[in-house]
Amino acid sequence: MNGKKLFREIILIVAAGCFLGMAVNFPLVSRFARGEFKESFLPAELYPGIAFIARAEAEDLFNRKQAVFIDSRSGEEFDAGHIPDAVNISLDEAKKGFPGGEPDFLKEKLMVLYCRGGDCRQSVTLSRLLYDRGYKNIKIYQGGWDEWHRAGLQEEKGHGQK
Amino acid sequence: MVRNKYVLFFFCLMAGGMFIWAGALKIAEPLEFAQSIRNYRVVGQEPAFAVAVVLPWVEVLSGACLIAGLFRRASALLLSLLLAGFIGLVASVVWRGLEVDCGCFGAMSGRADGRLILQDAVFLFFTLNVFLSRENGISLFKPRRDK
Repeated sequence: MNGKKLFREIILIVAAGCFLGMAVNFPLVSRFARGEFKESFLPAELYPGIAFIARAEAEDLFNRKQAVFIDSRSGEEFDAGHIPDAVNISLDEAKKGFPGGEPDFLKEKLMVLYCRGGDCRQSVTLSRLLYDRGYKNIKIYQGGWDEWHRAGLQEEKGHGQK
Repeated sequence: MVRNKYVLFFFCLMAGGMFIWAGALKIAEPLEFAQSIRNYRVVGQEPAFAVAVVLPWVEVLSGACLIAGLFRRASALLLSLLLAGFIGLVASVVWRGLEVDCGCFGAMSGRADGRLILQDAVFLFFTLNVFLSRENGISLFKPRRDK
């Protein structure tokens, strides 16, 4: 097989991948182009203390009770179902400057932030906000509530009803 | 170099299957994958997003081609290049002492560490053998004779 043919075939596979990726994600790409996700990514060099974790690590921290889980979704979503013992700090509430009082007790603890999962970025935005206010020990569980729920793990409804 | 067509097909199944699986998991969550790429601190937000949108599809297509026997050597070379890139990237993370999630298998991702480098090296061995072999092996597509 000559190099030219090999190169052509590689280009074909990559081009097909580009086309499919752009076509399937077109709505997401449009939103990104409009700048909708500008604040939704975490520049790791500016926030060195924040780490992203997968479900296995989130589960491990939950089972060993080594972290406080922070649910960054709205109160209604939180009531409909959340990770047991999670604290609901919605992004909107945090942006308003914690009307219920600054949760200082969390400053000493490891926090695991999550939101719905998928294209939700509230947990990332909340992590930036909390980090800037002095909460430095933060992990973000990217899979979020949807993934936790789908995996059939323990959950809680309302404010403490298992 | 391995020449046995059954062993080569086993390599294709293993490497192709792994890439199809890894790609499919990432296709479902492009933003999550974009953040994982960003965490390596190599590229900015825009390139990370572009890679997150395209790379999983390239992985799935290459993996499928490798198994089906369509453009087998090209897909083997492409996957070898990707694997070499991943190894370099993870090695740079280990070198810089960063603690990041590899992001390679969506929710099932582990840490980007030496174990991952070893795992990628095994798959690189598979794909390189397929690429370097003149044996067309077991294929769903009838191979054309090269001129």
